Amino acid sequence: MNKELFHCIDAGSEYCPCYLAETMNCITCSHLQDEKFCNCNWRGMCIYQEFFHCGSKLKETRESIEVKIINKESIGNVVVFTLSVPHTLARQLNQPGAYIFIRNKESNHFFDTPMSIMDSDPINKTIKLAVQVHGVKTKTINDVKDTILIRGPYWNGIYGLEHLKKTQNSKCLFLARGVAQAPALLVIKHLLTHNNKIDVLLDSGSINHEFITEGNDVNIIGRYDLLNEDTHEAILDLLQNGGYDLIFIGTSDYLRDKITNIPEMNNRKIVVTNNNAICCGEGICGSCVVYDLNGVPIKTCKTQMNY
Amino acid sequence: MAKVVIIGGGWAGCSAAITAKKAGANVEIYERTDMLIGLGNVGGIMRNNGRYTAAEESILLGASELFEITDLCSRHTNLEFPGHKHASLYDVTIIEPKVRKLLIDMGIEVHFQSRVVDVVKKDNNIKAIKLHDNSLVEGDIFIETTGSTGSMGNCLKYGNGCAMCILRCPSFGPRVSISHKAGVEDILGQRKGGSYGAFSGSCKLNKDSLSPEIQEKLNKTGVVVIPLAKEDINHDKLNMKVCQQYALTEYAENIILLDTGHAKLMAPFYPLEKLRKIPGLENARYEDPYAGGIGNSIRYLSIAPRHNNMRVRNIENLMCAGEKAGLFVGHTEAIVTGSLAGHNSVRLFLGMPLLELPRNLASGDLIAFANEEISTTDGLMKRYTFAGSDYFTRMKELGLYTTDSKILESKIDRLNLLNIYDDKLI
Repeated sequence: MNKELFHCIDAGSEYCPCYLAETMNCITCSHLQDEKFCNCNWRGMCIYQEFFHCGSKLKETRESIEVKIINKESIGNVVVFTLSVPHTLARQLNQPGAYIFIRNKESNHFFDTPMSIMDSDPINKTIKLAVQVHGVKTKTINDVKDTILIRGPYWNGIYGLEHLKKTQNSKCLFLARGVAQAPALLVIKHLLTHNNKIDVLLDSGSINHEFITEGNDVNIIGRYDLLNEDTHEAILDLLQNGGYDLIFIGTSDYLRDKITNIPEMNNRKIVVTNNNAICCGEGICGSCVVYDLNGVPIKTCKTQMNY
Repeated sequence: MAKVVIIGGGWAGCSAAITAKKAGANVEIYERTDMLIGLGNVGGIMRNNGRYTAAEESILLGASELFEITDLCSRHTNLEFPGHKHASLYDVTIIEPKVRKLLIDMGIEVHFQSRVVDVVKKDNNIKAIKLHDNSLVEGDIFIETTGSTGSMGNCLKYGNGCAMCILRCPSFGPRVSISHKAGVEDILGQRKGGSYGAFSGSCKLNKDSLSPEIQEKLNKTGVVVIPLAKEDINHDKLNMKVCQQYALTEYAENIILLDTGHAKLMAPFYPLEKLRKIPGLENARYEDPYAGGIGNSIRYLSIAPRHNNMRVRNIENLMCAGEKAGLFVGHTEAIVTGSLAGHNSVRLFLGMPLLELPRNLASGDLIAFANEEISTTDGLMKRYTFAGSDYFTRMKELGLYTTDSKILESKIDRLNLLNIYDDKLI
């Protein structure tokens, strides 16, 4: 009944302890929040002990690297990049929720744009991203030539990873709109390896393109406008009769909140995209901070939660 | 029907389970690891000095079961070793299954690998506890016997880091202070110099790794005392220990080994290279903690403020026992406090007045005295055990120490408390 204990996505990884430990602002460990006692939501590793073993310094940082663009394909207002990356990075990015920062090498670090990984191929050492060009940062990215700067790996692009891990031999329903189809693909890949069946309600949104196809081994049950009330009726119907164990919602916050108000959404395992403004990914800049009901600030770029 | 939920299946939790069950409650134990009796799996010392009195008192009060088991499993009885008389050493390698069987045969439900991480409260009443998998367990009365040792971050901050002891935090997750989660702040013990906590007082060497002579002597007599060379004697290390009853000069000037199945080394830890310079110990290796060459677990980091009837202050339905209940050392102390907490948990449920053991019994006096002392600065640096240090002296001064159970029987009979723990209240 005390202060909420947060789970940091990087805890226990090769990037833990991080900068936050050095300034006693760890998301998870009470000793690294300058307290006198042990209190954490134990995930299998003692972060304080690890920090000590690292000589009371952070373990490893994520730096920007320049990578080759193997392919750049424009589809309407979306540019699909295929990048050549080190094998290790491809392996680290091959999981649901993985994202990196990208920017034109002519731009300074303010232009770092968080971008979900659409696909990762560790054997061929490539990753794929889908960039919807519509603002300051994405327009400068569109101007890249042969190479691009990337920084990663980061992993908190999806909320509800715990649910994903527990879902096998089940039916899943995907509601994906616009460019959110991109992060949906890695989630689909993961669920398929655990013997799940996936039904997809597609909404091509403002990009007018379908990244998810039958070729991804899913069942596309329809193309709908997710903003429409009638669609919500259809979703309610699906939830009541479909036997779905897990629902993926890849939409804006506004639309997500509308959809989760549909009655049958209660008590379901829900996985959503992290749509917060992320600029550093390290819990430092404050762009991603969201306040919970008690006014407690949450660094959403690193704090993994269930929706 | 009363449902008593016990958090922590060590000696204190097991004894609480037994008396609560006998009083008529449904009892469930939630244990973090895969074994019962916790530190009892690496302990073994019973009936030394005042613990003899306390054991006999418990038996006469009606909590004999666990003492019967430790007596049954004793490799040596009536043993004398420096500072201690008439001790029994039980075999740590065989004892846990016997305790487990007793509890299960009594109909006590034991949940292993069930770590309790939080509580659900309504005002000052605990409605349920939350396990690490987020499931909730409701109950009427809760008894916290989670100990005061670790976890890893604490052992690092206040000790030499995780020494990989029997508590096995990396595998089973850290202990959580339930009283703290319920809003009652923990009390931390201190050691000389003001730092928090104290090292666990002993470690175990693998008996087979010792010389045949030492093995034989241990098996036959139960104790081996090896004098240390002058340059290796360090008196200051005695202040680090939990177990002040073994903080006599003898323990600084000698290596003292006791036979509890493994070879119990009466020092918190001992650098392996130095240990292997000692005749007979050239090939010694640690049995517990695995890294006994660098350190040991740190205790006393989480004591709940409580009444003498073992109820935690400011929470209506939470009891505590064992190291959770004070700066206690030892299995006997855990069993004495646990038995009282278990019996009182049912009294509490029924709205009966809770039992406080009278101060003319060593058991009652220890519980009350430790409680008085913990609110003083000096008191936080002392330890409370029937076996020695200041408290055993006090026992003798107050005339509480005796090995004559006939005297105790007539005392307890006059107090009308004979076999009180056997009373079925529900």
